[in-house]
Amino acid sequence: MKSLRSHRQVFYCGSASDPAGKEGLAAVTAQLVLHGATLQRSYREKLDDFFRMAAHVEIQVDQELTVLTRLVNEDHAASLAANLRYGPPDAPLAQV
Amino acid sequence: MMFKGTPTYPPERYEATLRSAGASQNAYTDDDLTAYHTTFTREDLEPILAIDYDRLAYVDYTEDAFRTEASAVLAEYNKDSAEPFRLLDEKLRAAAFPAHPYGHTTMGFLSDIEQMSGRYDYSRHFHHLYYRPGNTTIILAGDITPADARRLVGQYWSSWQPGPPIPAVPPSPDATGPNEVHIAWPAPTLPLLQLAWRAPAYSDNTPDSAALDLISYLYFSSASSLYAGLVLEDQLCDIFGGMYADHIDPFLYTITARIKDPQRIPQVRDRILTTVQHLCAHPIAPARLDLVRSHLRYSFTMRMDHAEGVASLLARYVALRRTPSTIERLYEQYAMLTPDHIQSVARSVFREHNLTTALLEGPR
Repeated sequence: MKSLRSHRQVFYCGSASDPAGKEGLAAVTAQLVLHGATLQRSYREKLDDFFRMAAHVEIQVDQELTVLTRLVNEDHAASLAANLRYGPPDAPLAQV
Repeated sequence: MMFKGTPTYPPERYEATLRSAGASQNAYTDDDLTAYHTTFTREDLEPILAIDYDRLAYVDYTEDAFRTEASAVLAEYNKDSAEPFRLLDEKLRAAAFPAHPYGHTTMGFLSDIEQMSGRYDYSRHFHHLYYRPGNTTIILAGDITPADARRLVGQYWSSWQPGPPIPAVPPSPDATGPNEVHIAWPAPTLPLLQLAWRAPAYSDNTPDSAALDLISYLYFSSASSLYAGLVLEDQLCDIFGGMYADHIDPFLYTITARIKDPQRIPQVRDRILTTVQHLCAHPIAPARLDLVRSHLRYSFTMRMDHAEGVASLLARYVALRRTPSTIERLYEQYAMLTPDHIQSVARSVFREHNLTTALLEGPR
C-alpha cells in the first residue's frame, strides 16, 4: 500500500449565492455533488467505489465557499477524482 | 480517581507538568479494558513516563474525595438518562447477561452507583488488584525506536511490583432465549429496536470473529442492500447498522434500528429477520467479499496517519491478546474467509435461543 493523499477543492459559492426563494440550494447542490448519481455512475456504483477505497469524502458549505475534502490512499486517488467528476463537460445546464 | 494525584505529584504539580508539555490527555473505560492516553512531543517523553507511572501505581485519594467523585458519577448517570440509547443499552445488556459482568454498562447499575459513595475501601482494593504490571500494556507510538522505548519504560516503570492474582470472570451460562425487553420512554421519541444474538468471544485462530465483522459490512452497513432499502429507498429508519464488538468473553452481535413511524416496527423487524435468514441460507457472492476486504484494509491504514491514531488502534487489539500481532492474525482470517465460512458462522450464531430483542418506545 502507498501513502495517503489529501485533497481540497474550493468552489467560490456558498449560501450567500442562494437565489431569493431558493434558500438552501447551495447546500443541496453540494450534497448532490457528493452523493448523487452521475450520467456515468449510478448511486450504487458510487457507493461501492467509495466503500472499496475506504475513502473519506465530505463537503462543507459556508456562506461564501463550498469545500470538497478527499482523503484516500494513493492507490485510489485517480479513480476517486474520476468518481466525483460532476457529469460530462457538455451536459446541459438545468434551469433554476 | 486516577486524576486525583499522588504524594509525589499532587494534582497541581501533575497538571503543571502536562501543561508545560502542551500535552492532551484523557481516558476511557470499556467492558474489557481501561485506557489512559496522552499525546505530546518527543522531548517530553521522560517526564510524561515518570508522572504516568507515579499516578497509576500510587494514586492516593481521601474518602471525602471519593464521595465527591461518586456523586459526580451519579450526576453523570442522571444526565445520560436523558438519552434513549443509553437506557436501551442498559436494559439489553441486563436481559442478555443475567449472570456475567457484561450485563451492566461501564457506568454500572443505578442501584450500585447510588451506594458507591460508601465503598471507598473497595475502590482502593480494586486499584490494588487490577493496576499492576502483569495486567498492563504500555503502548508508545511515534518518534521512538523499540530499543529506546524498552529502555525508558524499564527506567521509569521497573519498580512497579506484581500484585495478587486477579480473579477470573466466571463464564456466562449459555443463552436461553429468545428474550424480549420492552422499554417505555416517558416522552415522545422515535422507537429504537435492537436485535442482539449471543456471539462467540473474540478469536483470531478461528473464522468466527472475522466472519461476524464481514457480515456487518456485507448485510447491515451503509454499503448493504438492507440499509439502502430501509434508510434510503423506503425511509423507514434514520439510523441502521449491525455490529460485532470484539470481547474477551462471548458478547453480542447487535443490529440497531431507529424507526421513523411506530406503526412500521413489525415491518422493520421482519425485514431484518428475513435478511438474517437469507444470509444463513445463501452464500455471499465472492465479489462482495472482496469489496469488503478491500474496505477493511484501506480503512485500517487510513486510521494510522498520526501517532495518536496508531496508539488508539493498537490499544483495542492489544487488549484482546496482549500483542500487536493480533492485528496480523485477524487480517489473515479476513483474507482466508470464504462464503462458506461466513454462512457456517452465521448459522451457528443467528439462532433463536441466542436472541434478545429490545424495543424502546415513547407514548403512542
